Amino acid sequence: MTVQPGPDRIVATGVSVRYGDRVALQRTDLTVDAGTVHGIIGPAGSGKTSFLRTLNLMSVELDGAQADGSICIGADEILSDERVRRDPASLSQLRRRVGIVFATPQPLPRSIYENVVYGPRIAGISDRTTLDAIVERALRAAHMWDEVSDRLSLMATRLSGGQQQRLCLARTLATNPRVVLLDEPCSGLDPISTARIEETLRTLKSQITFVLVTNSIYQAERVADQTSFFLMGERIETAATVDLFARPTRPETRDYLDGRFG
Amino acid sequence: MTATMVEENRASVAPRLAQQVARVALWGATALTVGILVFIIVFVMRRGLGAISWSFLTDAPQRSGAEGGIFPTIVSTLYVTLAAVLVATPLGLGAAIYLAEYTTEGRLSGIIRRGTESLAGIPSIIFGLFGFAFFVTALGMGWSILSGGLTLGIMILPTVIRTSEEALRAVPREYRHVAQSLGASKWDAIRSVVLPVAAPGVVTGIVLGIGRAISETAAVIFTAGVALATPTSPFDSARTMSVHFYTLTMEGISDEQAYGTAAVLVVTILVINVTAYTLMRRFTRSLR
Repeated sequence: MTVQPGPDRIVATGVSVRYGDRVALQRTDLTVDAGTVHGIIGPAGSGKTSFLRTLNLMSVELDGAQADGSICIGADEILSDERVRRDPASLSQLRRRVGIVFATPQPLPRSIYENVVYGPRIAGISDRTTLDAIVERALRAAHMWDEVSDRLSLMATRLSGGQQQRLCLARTLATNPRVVLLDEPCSGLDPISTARIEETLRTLKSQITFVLVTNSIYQAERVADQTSFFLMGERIETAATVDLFARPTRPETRDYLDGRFG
Repeated sequence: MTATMVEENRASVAPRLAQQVARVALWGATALTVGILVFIIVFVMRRGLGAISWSFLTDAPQRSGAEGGIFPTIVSTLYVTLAAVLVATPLGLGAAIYLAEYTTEGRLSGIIRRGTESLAGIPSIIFGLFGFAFFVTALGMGWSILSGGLTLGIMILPTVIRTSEEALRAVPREYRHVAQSLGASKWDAIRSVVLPVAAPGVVTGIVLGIGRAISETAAVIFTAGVALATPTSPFDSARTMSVHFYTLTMEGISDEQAYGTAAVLVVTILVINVTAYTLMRRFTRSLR
């Protein structure tokens, strides 16, 4: 069985993200401590998803974004002012190290089992016993094993939305990431699936650093150790979640948080 | 205000009539299409089925095809068509992958796409002349299954490219993103996720191409020739069923034998179509 590699610290310095002429994120600094859950809240268009998708360079490779600044994941500088690492081998390596779960559940049109082993197979693991063990471990971590262990050959698209999203989380965990990015993973999910996903973050954060973009400030309050507030492409403030919610220092943050009462 | 009322009036009376007219017209068009197809099949079968027997399918022709069977032409048809598919599938699928996945819409892809579409509009006899001048003469392949297959392969290329490209484009972008987010390279994602999902569409393109290739006469007569012996190598000349039919009728050898050949050809095409779509449906269901 593979050993968990341990969580990575993320240091972003002066990160800007542009899509053509449109600036989505301006010179943002943010440090995420290893082994924590870091919540990012903010209204639509605040740049939180652009920031998240830049942490594994998907914005640059797939969305046509240009990114400047510096991002270090662990000891590895994945983005620097001089260059963006774009060769396929190091991108593959980066994606295995920094996994992502998308806002809408995206199961591939194949069985539950084949969904989970997709990443490991691409990484070259073909031994059946190893893959079986990976599947069980990943599905257990996503609190799904008991629901589906007897029907792993079922088409993943036949699962309910909440199950699909937990499967996607399991699939991401199967590549042994050190960081997992979550882009509003619980929007539109049932409360039970939401609770299970949050439970997974709490259990695994000693091994994996989580960055959680969420539309629900309650969710940030429930699971995030630290929370950052983004507004119009800028990070307004970051603090321990309890402090941010009890005593926001910036008026913008206070206004946004007050919105939940109004 | 008045204008809206008039609109509403027209909206309440006209649509009912329009609905009925449209229904009759659409039903009529559908019925006519199916009717013509059925008529052609029945016509060919009535005149051809009488000639068909087991020996007709398995014997060699006698007296230039006036008597005997058509076994060599069945074999030749299958060989030439197979060769065409072997040429067109890798080339066509490759071009489709390039167009759908590796270029952004621009001048180059525009030129390629327009070129492909022009290729589809060229009459088959021109392909025959090209195949004769290039494969048969210039490259010295002679009248052969190889020359015929290459020519037909180029001829059905547009069909394969077009259908495959559409099938590839229909695969949700999210699948590629998921695959690449899990460490797949772009090519990994295409190979392992996009192509399996697009496969039914690609197969449709190939089946359409087979349909065109198997019944082609003009392009084949110039490139594969008219030899009546059973071919034993790709360099042998071969007479396909449609060429045999053409020869039998045009040279007045035997109408009965000609329609027998036509009936076998029609049945072959039907069998290939039904088999391909059945396999495809089973394959698609296993993906869902």
